[in-house]
This record gives sequence, structure tokens and C-alpha cells, in this order.
Amino acid sequence: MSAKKRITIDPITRLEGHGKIEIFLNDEGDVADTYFQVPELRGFEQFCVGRLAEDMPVITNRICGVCPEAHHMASVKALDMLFDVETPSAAKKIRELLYMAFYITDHTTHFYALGGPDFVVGPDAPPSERNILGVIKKVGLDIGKQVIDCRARNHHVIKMLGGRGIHPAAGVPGGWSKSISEDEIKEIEEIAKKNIDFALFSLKVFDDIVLKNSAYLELVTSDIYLHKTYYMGTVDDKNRVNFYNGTIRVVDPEGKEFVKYHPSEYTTHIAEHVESYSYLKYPYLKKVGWKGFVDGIDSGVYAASPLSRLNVSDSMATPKAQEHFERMYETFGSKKINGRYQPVHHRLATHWARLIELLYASEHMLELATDPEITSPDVRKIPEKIKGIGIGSVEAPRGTFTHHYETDEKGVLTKVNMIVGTTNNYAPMTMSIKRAAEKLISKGKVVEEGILNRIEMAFRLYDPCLSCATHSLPGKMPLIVNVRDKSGDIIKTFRRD
Amino acid sequence: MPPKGAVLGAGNSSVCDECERKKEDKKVEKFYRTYEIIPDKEKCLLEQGIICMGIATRDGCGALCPKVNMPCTGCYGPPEGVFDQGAKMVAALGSIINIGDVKGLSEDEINKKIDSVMDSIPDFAGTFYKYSLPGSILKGRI
Repeated sequence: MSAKKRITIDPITRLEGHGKIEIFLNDEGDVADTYFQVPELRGFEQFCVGRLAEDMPVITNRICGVCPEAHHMASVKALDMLFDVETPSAAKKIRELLYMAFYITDHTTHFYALGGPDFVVGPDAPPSERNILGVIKKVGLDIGKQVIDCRARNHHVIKMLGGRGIHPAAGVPGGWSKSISEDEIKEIEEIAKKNIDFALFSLKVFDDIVLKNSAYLELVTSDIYLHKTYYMGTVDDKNRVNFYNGTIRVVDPEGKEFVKYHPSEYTTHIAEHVESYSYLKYPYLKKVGWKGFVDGIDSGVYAASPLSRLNVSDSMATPKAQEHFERMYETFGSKKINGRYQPVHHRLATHWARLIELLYASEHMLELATDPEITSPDVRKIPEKIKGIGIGSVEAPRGTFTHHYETDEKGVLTKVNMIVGTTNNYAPMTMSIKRAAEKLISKGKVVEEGILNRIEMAFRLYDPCLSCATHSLPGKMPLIVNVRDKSGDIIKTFRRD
Repeated sequence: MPPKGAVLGAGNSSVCDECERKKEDKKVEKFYRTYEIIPDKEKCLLEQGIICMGIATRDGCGALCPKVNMPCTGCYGPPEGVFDQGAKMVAALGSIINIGDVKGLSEDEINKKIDSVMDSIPDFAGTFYKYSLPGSILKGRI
């Protein structure tokens, strides 16, 4: 290759934060179709083949700087099954304790830095103000400090328990490599108490700024961001929300249980639809079938998000979160049928659901921190055999999250499959974008003001991890929107790098 | 801006230098994979037969993984003055493995003894070059 030859790579790859939207218009100039493309390919499923299975918790957590803990946990649970070992109870509790701290950091980031600005500052505010700095300006500098403190103290817990504050290293098949000392747990207990106060405060911010503002309440309860699909989430044995362990429950758009299955049976229930224009696949419910990007009981499209988790559950496992859970469903006028609320389909309610989960994570963190077993030194069991197949699943903040490994007799990987949280929501995000575009474009007239943000609000509520790049100041994500006429020529491009 | 090639947020030595575990210059007869052994909390992981890359890895992290009883996997890359992280690690292993008395043995017999110790590591490239293969002398050609 000569030194002078110029190589241009487009689209750029291997970054988590590239989205492209194409909008096609018909003869009348109305929206005929929209495409939400993810032009990035990471290749982890390919290059992990040949690696040692026990290395996966530290390899796969490098996929992401925002949700590495979710990769670490799904991975280590897959290893428990692969090595056919029963993890001691104390180790499971330590894993879950770390996981609660992680959820608190992640949901806090989304509400204050990503999703929140749309509400706290306002959907029509200029982008220069519609970011975390704008939020801090509106709610006060002290609150900004609290947000940063919350993230800092919980990352400190993650580092204490997992070795590293961002990419934990302590997960091993059959347990956890480190036990917790009495001094450490005392510190964690205090942190958990602060987290509960912070979660309650965050719900009050949502109450004061969104629910008490009639224009916002109307936006949240309007049909602009409404989709009636199936919902998926992990529940415990009492059908309550659980992030770390349980069975996968799917409910139909009416709220009736459609199926409940063990995470290892996911291939029986989930299939993936492929479109030629995107690297990301569209999972759907196999037994309902792929009917395209449409709502309803006959379409296999499902969502897996904070709102989905609440929609599939009968209740929350902690008392304060339960109060807020009831309040949310009552606000949307959801009726109780057979003892459980009907699903809320208004997708902007996902922001509210996320805060209810923040409260649950905080309350549960305190429960775990005060559990006498948490300081037990019995945190590891040495596996005695290699089964050759391991499937592990957790609820990532963005949705149900599965790692699937197969190995040879030495535990060297021969097959890797991952369905990450965001992937579940690819079809719903595509649909939400289309609906937003339809509202903003008619008879060839493109509403320029706010188009980027209205469309972004449609997928931002799912907290997609392809926007990992936005999880830092100033909260921007590279986004291109092309509007094309019927012959495919671009008539308008919106761009934000 | 710092000059090109400046090292930021890392040291000039190896992870072993900031690791608090005790080294006893013990030889290793067998290597364990991380799931096969619960290591002693005070002693050097490598001397307990766990492939800890600390000796071939730049310091600066604070030896975080060894602190939670997990081996260093080499994510900071080779230390100052070392070009090839994997080669450095293999050289280190050469001086730590114990293959017993080799007096009077042929080269083939010695190789067999070495192999029997090294066979417990099924993935050399993935273990020794987890983060540094593209910059190694192998240049990804495996």
C-alpha cells in the first residue's frame, strides 16, 4: 500500500455511539418508511472463539464502559452453568450487591444526563442548554453535586467488591473471588441509606418538574410515544421485578402472561429478524412471528426496558418502590385485572419506571448490606467438570441480557452468542422513530425545528447503549437523519456529530 | 498538551512493583486456571501457579486485580523498555517453572518436561497477548 493512498472509512465502526436514520417520503411527501441503522460491528462473538471460557467476564465487560457490570454478571452466570457448579449463597448475594450499586449509577446517569434534560430543561430548549449542565442550572448546583456524589460512592462500592471501579474482575465460575469484611459492609450500609434518600429525591424531582407541569404530563400521556407491544422482563418466584436472577416473563399487550421460561430456553422463544441495512438484528417472539414493525397482539415485537420490567411484574419487592409503582399505574388509569395492573404503553413513562427501579435497587442494596450472610467467607466452590454449554442472563438496565457460550472439553470457547439489552428494543425503537417522523413531516413539509430532538426523544427513552458515547459530558450522540423523496434522492439532511 | 509518546496515568515499572503480595522465589510445578484454585490471599499469585501477567505489565493501576485475588491480565500493556509483552511473560515463566532435575537428560526429554508444565495453558496468544497482539512482534499473524 503506497503511503500516499488515502483510505476513507465510512461508516466508522467499533464505537458505541453511531446511529443513522433514513426517512423515505412517498409521492404526497408523507413518510413512507424510516430506517434506523446501526452501522457498527464489534465482532466480540467472533474473536472470543478460541479464548478460555473463564476469561469471558473480563473480556466481555470491555464491550462497554457504561454497563460492564451487566456483561460481567451475565457472563459469570453463564460460567456457573458451563462448569456445572452451584455458587455459594453468600457469593450470589455479593454479586447482587455489586449489581445494585451498578444499577444506581446507571439509572442516575440516564435520568440526569441523558433523558432528564428533555423534561427538566424542556424538549424545545436549545441543545446548548439541553444537557446535564442545563439540568444543574435548573435544579441547582447542589443537586449536580449530589448526582456526582451518588455515582462516585457507588463506583467506590463496585471497586471494593469487584477490584476495578469500572470493569469488575472478581467473577469466577462457582462464586466470587473476594469476601466482604465487617468494615467494608458498614461503609456499604451507609452508602445504601444515602442511595434511598437520593432515589426518593429523584422521584420528587420527576414529580415536581414533569407531573406537575400540565404540558409535560400531556406529552407523557399522549399517543405520540405510545406503542402496544409485548413486554419482557425477569421476575422472581412471586412475579416481582428482579435484576439478578429469576425467570423470563413475557406479557401480551393486554397484560396477560404469554410465556414464562428459564433463561437457558431463550432460543425456543426468541428468533432474530435481519434487515440488510443494519448490523444489528431484530429479536422477536418466535411463537408469535415477525410481522414487520407493527404494534399489536399478532406482532412478535416486544420491548425489554424499565417500563417493560414493571409491566411484566405483579409488584415490586421492596415497600417504598411498591408505593411508587402503584402510583405510576394509577396515574395512567391502569386497571387491575386478576390482581395485576394492565401495562402502561406510553413509552415516555419509561423515565418514571427507571426512577422506581432506582428506588428498588437502593432499598434492596440496604437489604443485602444488612444480611448477616453477606460477610461469610464461603464465597467460592471449585467446579469439578466442564459441561460444554452455559447460558446466563440478567436484567441489564436496558433490558433482558443473555450470554450463551459453548466450549470443548478443555473449556475453550467454540461458540459465543450475546443478546444485549439494547438489541431487544431495536424494533420498538425503530417504530417509535417512525411515529415521531410521521408527526413531524407531512406533505413534503419538514418541521426543522426540534426534529432531531423529537426523534431522539423517541429512542432516548430506551436508553440505547449505542449511545454510550453520550454518557459523558456534554451528552451528545453522533446522529444523521436523511430525508429522501420517493426516488431515493436526499432532500434534507440533519446532522449532529 | 503533553508531548507525543508521553505516558499518562501509568508508571514506568511493572504491576509487581505496586502489588502487596509476598514473593518467596518459589518455583512452579503446575499452572492452574483461575477456576481451579482458591489462592492464598497474601502470597504472589504467579508463585501459586496462576498466570498473573503483573511481571510483564506496566504499573499504574494499583494492582487492582491481584487485590481481589484475581491475576493481572495485562491490560496496561508492556512495561517501559519492553516491546513484546507476551515474549516478556514467556521469558519470566522460563525462569520460574520447575521441571525437576535435568542432569543427563537429552534435549528432547527436557522439552517434554517443559511441555508437561506448559500444557496446562491451552491458549498462549489469548493469555499472553490479550491486549497487545496488534503491537507485538507477531503483529496479529496467528
